[in-house]
Amino acid sequence: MSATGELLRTEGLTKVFPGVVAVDGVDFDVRVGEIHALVGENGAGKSTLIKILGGVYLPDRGKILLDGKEVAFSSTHQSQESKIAVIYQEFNLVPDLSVAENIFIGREPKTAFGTLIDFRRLNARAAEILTTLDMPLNVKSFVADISVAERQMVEIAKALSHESRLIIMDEPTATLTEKEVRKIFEIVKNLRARGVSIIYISHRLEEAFELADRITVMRDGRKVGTKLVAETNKNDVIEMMVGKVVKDYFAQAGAVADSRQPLLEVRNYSVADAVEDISFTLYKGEILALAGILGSGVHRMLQSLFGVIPKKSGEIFFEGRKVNIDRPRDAIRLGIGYVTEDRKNAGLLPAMSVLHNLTIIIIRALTFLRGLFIRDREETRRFEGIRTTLDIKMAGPGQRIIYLSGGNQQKVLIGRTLLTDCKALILLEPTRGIDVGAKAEIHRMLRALADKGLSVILTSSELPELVNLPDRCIVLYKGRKAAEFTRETMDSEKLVAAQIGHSDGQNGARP
Amino acid sequence: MVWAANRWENFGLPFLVAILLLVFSLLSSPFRSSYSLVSNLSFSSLVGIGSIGMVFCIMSGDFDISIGSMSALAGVLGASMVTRIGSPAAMLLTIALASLFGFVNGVFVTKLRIPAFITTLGMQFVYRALAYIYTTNTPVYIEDKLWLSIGSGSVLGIPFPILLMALCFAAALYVLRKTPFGRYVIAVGTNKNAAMLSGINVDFVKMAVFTLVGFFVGIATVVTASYLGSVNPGQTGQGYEFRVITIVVLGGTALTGGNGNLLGAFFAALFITYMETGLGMLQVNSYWQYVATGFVLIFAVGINRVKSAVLGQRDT
Amino acid sequence: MIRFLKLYEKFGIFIFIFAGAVFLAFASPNFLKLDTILNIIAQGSYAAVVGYGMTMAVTSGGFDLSVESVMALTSVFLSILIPVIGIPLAIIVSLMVATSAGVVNGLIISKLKVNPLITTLGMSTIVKGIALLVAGGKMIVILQKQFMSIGTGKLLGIPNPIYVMVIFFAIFYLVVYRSSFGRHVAAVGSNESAVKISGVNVDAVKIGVYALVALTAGLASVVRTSQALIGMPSMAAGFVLVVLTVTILGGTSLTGGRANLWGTLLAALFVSMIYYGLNLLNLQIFYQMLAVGTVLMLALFIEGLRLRYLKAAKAKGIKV
Repeated sequence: MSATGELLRTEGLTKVFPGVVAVDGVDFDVRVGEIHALVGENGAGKSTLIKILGGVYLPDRGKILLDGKEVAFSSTHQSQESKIAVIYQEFNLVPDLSVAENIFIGREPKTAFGTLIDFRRLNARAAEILTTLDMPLNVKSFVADISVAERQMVEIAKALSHESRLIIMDEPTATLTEKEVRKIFEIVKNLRARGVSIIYISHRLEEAFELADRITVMRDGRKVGTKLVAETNKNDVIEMMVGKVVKDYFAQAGAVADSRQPLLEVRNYSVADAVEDISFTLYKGEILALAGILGSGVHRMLQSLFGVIPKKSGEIFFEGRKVNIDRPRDAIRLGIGYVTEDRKNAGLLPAMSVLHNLTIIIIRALTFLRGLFIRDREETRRFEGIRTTLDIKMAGPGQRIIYLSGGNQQKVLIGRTLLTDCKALILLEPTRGIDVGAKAEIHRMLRALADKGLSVILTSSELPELVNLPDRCIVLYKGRKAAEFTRETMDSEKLVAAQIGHSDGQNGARP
Repeated sequence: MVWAANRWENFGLPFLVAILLLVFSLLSSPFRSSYSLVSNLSFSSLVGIGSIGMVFCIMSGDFDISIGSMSALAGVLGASMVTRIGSPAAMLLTIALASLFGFVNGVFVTKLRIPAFITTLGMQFVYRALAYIYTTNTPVYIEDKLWLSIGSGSVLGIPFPILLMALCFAAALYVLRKTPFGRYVIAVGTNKNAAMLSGINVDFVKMAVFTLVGFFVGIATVVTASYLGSVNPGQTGQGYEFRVITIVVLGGTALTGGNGNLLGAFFAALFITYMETGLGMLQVNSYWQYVATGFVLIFAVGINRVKSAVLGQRDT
Repeated sequence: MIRFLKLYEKFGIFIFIFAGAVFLAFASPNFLKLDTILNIIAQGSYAAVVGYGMTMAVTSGGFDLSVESVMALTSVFLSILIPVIGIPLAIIVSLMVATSAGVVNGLIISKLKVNPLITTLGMSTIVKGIALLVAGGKMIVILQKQFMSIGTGKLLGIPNPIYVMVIFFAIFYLVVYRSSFGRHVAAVGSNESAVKISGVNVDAVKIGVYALVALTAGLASVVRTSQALIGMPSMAAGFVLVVLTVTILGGTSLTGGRANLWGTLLAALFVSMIYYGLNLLNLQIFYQMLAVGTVLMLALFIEGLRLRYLKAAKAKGIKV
């Protein structure tokens, strides 16, 4: 422990991935026994930063100093041994083992016999840690049976059992109830009292302000600033998070649909563990955005709309008629297209060529004798049509799709839906992982399609996209509508505020 | 390395087959004779035809280890009907029954979501047991000339099994490359989720694939029965699934699904058949065959993994 | 309903045994005699012992299709070694041979990352070939009659195989539920990546599991071979199905993480009861195969339905 009470410091930390600088020359420090909040929009670099501290990535440039001495973590193990613990959003727990076993996995106390676990000591030690943190948990229960909040506690207990001096928590309260959040707060404050430092990443500013001593804002990979919580307020922080949003960089406002004809209407819609009693309308020729942070339910709402996951209750009306969408085929038949956010796992067909990836959705229609002979020329013709419309760059139609750049892959996925002459398009994170130039192209293209009558409903975690592209933006927070913005009323700070639950009652929001 | 990996995909197997033929021809004179070479080619149709369905199955991401027993049951049922319905009908019956068994497997896998390997492992014993029970453990002999001539007959000097095998492979290649169904099989195997999101009826594709497995096994059973002159509830199909899977994997079809190699399976069928006969002609203890085939299987999977890794293909 | 399903997972097998026992008691007057019951239990001991090993393999997220061949190999080695180095040493060496086959399985699965299906399927054939080669294709008679006492002897009126079954149950119980190795095996089957991160040597765990399965196969083979006094290179055809059935019927989930050792033991007894019942009806052994296969499919069918129901319930927001 150095004289200034500083525990950890980074100097000029930089990490570059192909096409993007994730962390850009970050100088960051954590003091002993402090709760340090780390905030920023998605893509600001927070996750990458903590992964470097956790030993998952090696920085390309810069130093990490622990207690004033330079260290480097080439494995997660080394990071752990330096008494740093990272609690990721997905948790690293074994569901079929008990709480106590999870805490001490690999270090179980043994009996005299050597390989048999001394459960008495194991449970006692685990219970000890839990009581010091005032966690009401039964050490013998299986992790599979406990709630998310309780799993959070187990992870914390695990970190403590390693005698960690720094615990990094990534969005710990994203999916918790009010009561559970309060409990976690108690525990975190308890930790601070015992001299443990915490880096607390969260989108919820009110939490950061309640818990933290200092708050650091990141944007586009750089540190914007670090302030003492006592010396700042939420609006200042939001301003730092948002910065100056370049308004004219992306697509311009298109011909706003005067004839506001509803295409799709969702009424009293609920999805288990996601959204509760939501209603909204998608009009013809408009681009509507559903925005929300982790835990807001936006993604699952859209997945349910396409039939990927089932709904709990509610109704969908398409072109005025009530419809049932239980699986993707139903939605496709209605004329709804879908582009997933997870290209690699749920969108692309890796073993197949660009041509086949594109035409797979309509290949049945491109045949003689109802599905027996594929008409190659027809297939190529349709392919060429889309290729030129979207300007997809590739070596040739036969090239394997995995060799295309992210942007072009996304174009193929969007093109696939266009081939079905759909009336509505659902896009999840349409330009994630795509370079700026391609982003602008895709936005222009979406705008052009909307002007021709296509309705688009999308979600995005990239602020500029939310501010500039859609005609309307509905914000969800914890499964309910928090705010609605039109092009005229759009304000980036208010948008962010609504997303994180900090609203001023206007814009149709519920405080 | 990448050059070699790319070349292997297309030429590796024919290359291996050529080397194998060369080596055995040098070592054994009976092997060299054109009669033996041709008859072995004919003989390879037994596993070759059966492997076609399995290629589709593995391409779609599943397995079927019950084909040996399917063959036995369909075979005894069909062969025992020859005297009553005549041999053409009996042969068709065999094929139809085998397809039905495949279909049943498919239903278990898709509707009940039971992993394919355990389903087919269980059904393997059910089919085999039914074969024993039906025949009270006695072989069914085929005395009908028509059926027997399938294995030994020839058209324009080319043995019939070879023609049949060529026909089957050609048909399969066509389906795979030129029909939507073929595309669906690849899509389901390479990314089930994406396939579903594109509106493909994954369950239907899988059931169809399992039925196809049965279909081709049925054809192979007819030819096998013709060769042996009988169908034996205990012997027929023993180890068949093992050899067929080895062939499919050796032929370059990835176990992870999506990438299928029908031609590769063809050459692999040749390879395995020639290897077994060659070893036999060299008077090598037939038990070494077990060891050899087991090695080939594990080796084949290993090679596939290396190739995938080198070419940077997605490996689940 | 949800509670019923959860209870079923743990105690379903009791229903089967109870129903089976009642049925057999009515069907045959001989059933309720001590001798008969002991016999049934003894017959089930083989599937039980190998079942312990298979349970661990399934708990780790895999399975082992090569147990039959390992049994054959052990049998052959016994028949060759007993005349040469005496019974105790022959048993030890044969068991070592069996275990090393399991180690090879584990190495291929963990280091070469070949999936368990292909690995154990391939090894099954290789080991079978080796067994046949070593035996020269023949069944070698074991002349040392003392060896017979292992399999056919009785202690205090209870057949030896039952002791083997019980003793190893106790050992495996400790290993599976009380030892760090056993808990790590369950952890690997439950969430392998989390285990890797925590520093446990996952490869070693996998190798250990497959070695254990092979060891249990070897043990069962020792007892069986001692009964027949013949080294059988083609022993135990179809046995792998019985062992897998017993494991799954006993409630161990194929997805791994939860071992139900009691279930395996009881399921083995249940299957033995089925065989007895079939014998009563004077049905040949083929009916046994059919029965076991059907029981397996039935168990899987019920499991499939159960999972579907739970999934649907979750979607409706019901706490599961």
